[in-house]
Amino acid sequence: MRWSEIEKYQISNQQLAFIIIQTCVGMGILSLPRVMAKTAGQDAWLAIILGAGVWAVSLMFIYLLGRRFPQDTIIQYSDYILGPYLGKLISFSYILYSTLTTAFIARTFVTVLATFNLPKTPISVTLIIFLLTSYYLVGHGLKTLARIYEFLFFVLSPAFILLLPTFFAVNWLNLQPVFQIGLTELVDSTYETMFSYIGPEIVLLIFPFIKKQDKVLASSLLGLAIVMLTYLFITVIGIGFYGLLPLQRILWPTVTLLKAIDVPFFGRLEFFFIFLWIAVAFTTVSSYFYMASYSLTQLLRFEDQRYSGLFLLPIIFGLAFIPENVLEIFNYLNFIAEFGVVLTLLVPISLLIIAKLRNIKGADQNEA
Amino acid sequence: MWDKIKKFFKSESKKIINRLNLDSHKKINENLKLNLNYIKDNLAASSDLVFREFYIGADKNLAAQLIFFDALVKDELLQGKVLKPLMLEITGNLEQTEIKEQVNDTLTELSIPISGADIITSLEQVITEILGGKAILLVDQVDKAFSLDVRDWQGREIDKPGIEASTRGPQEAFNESLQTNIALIRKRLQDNNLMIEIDNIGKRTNTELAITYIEDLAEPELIDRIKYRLDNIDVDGILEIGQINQYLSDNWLTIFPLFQTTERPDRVVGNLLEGRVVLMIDGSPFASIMPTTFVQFYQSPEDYYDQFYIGTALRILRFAAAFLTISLPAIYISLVSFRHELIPHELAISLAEVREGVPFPSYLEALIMEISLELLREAGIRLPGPIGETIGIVGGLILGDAAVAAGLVSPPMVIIVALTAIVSFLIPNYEAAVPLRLLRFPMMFLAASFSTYGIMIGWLLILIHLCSLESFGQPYFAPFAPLKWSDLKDTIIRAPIRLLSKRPLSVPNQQQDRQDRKGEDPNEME
Repeated sequence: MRWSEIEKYQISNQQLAFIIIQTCVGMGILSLPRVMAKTAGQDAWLAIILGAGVWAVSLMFIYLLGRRFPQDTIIQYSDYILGPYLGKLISFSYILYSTLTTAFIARTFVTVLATFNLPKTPISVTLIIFLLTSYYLVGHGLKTLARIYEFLFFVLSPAFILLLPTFFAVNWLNLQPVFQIGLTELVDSTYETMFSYIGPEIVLLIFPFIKKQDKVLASSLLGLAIVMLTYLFITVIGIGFYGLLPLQRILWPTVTLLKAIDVPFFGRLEFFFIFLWIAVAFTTVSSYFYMASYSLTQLLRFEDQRYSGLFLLPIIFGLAFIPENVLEIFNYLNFIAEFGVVLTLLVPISLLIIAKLRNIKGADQNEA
Repeated sequence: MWDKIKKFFKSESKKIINRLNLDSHKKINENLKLNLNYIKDNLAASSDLVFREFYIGADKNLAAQLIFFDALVKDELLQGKVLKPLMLEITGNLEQTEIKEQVNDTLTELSIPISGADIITSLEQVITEILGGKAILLVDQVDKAFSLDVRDWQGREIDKPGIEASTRGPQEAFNESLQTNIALIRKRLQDNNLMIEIDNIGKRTNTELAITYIEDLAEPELIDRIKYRLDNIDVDGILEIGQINQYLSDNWLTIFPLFQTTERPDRVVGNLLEGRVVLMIDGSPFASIMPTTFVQFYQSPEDYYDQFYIGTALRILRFAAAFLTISLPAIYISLVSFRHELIPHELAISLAEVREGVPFPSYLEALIMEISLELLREAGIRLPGPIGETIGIVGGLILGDAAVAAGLVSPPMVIIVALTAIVSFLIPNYEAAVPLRLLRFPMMFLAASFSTYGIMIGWLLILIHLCSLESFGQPYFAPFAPLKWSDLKDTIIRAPIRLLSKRPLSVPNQQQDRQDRKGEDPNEME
């Protein structure tokens, strides 16, 4: 490969797919089977596929917006489209959204960690270490972020092989009869999956740095498809293994599933899973942290996201202590998910329509 | 913020071109005395500096001076090949008027039977050449000087590799002489495109530096960048290639080596053939290879010389060794002090039994043992050969046994420490193994504080750092991240040699293919 080809872009399309996977898969995998069993019953798989479909449509609009403004991020082109004041409002809500998401996901993480791993360590200590590690990654920028996500995918995906033994113990009768779900319930449960799928909105921010912009849609859909398959896998195993009613009473069903596997000599598989899951959660939190600090950098025109990250660090730390217990955390996460759905589904569509109506276009990629 | 800190440290980076602080344009005068005065003024009057005055021609009518350091030149050469022909074999009256042409003719074309003879015109160069070990011939009424290469520098013979020993493959290693090292490379790589550019570095040491690459493979942009960074080095002395590495480094605060130094000519040639650039300096038996990727430190030349099963198995062992060097004590600490439930019952019981009388908590026990291990290892290197081995036995066997018998440490801890020590020697490059050894201490600290969470955080920090590193703009952790699928066949595994038909993508180069006989039947003759 020649030098000139290497330095032109920051991240490859392949890396984009991994970024989407690592951003989406995080907290959701631990609780998704329970949530799905509650809302969709044995037709949970249908809701998960539909949820991915909705996101695919959203990604298409994000892609079209990106193609229209190939050199700009949402922070910049919301200004062009809506004017400085309304545009700043949109930018600010994105920053607020990603900051809140970082805080609450990090909080969920340390809570789970305290449950399974470090019951006696104060969560403020584990949280600050987690956030500092994340800040270390964010400070290195998008290139490093993309590289480590790519690497971690291959390190972490074997964790799902651990679940394979339970797959053979699935009672397929638990998933029957199919199509029992009503239309309103289907809409409700599809909406519930949204929380597990939030993440692809990172494309709004990193679009200008991707190598082949015309193939962004394909690679991000590939990422989304892998996320969908992961969720289908754990939900089908969860429902099939436990049955609907018991599943609804298990707080973290994916971890509990592993307790059912008996490996001779090496007793506790779920610890191994939790160990790898630390990295899974880390990538999700770091993505949102990156989104928050990078959009703040663009809004305030800092030269480096290190400054804005340092500024956001204590804010995130403080916000993470707002929820008082696990149930409140779930409420806050649902609130975020709703916020996120508005920002990633409705805002890009409206921005695109307004841009078309006002006939605003970004500078061409080659003109830079 | 980081940029400002870096700027603060980098403050004085003014480039000083005129190394010797002389008037660089001063030409050699026709008057021999003036020239001599200038040289005496600007060269410290050392006792080993020789001014040999003599007359050219048997008739003794043309004065000349031979200037050299007597420690650096070969006396027989000067006597037999320079002084004798000039003083005795030139006959006839050298007329004052025609003297310039005659002397020019005789000197440049015929009279001095030495292969390395140059004509120089500036006085500054005269001084550099004298310092470089050459003999300078100045002739009265001639505005030129003759620089004669009669150097005779003492050095070591070509020896076996000291720290890069291998079972298979050539057993020659570089030595301190740049000429010998270049010869070792040229001998193995008889390519018309092999470029060796020699330059000097270090304001006072004036060390010879060779930039070696294959002209139609190495990327010109890379060579330009290397030269640019070399030009920016402004230091009085360079004694070892490792110093240059630190100056050239993209990230000068990293713990990982961003350049591979090697003493094996076969490794250098292998890397040249992949489009890399090699730097060598006179006085160092190590060559530095750039750009470097992380996996290179886990590859050993014999991986390629043996059948690929052996290479692959050894590579897997080495990567496992790297992982264990960093995390084995940390894993032990976190299992014993936090996660008893992860240890199988039978093992947990026997562990608890042997640890019963030990007064220290496991992390302190591990820390003491690991530090004493490092002390022993360092002592073993410094002590002369046979005593070093004795220290190994005394330290390892007797001390360890006594510590267990005295109830200071538990036997499993000794096993863990011994394993970590052995495992760290599997990594074929010394400079890559040392950072791993050091990193296990923060890792132990993290494990003692946060158990498995600490280990994961430690590994994430290491991986983030590895992913952020670049060597001359090339990702250091490639081909793992960014993932380059086709390069993976020469990383943890070593694919059959017929499949390695492309040069690695992780190194920029001008030609992708290195062989095109992929998968042909060797029995089939044309």
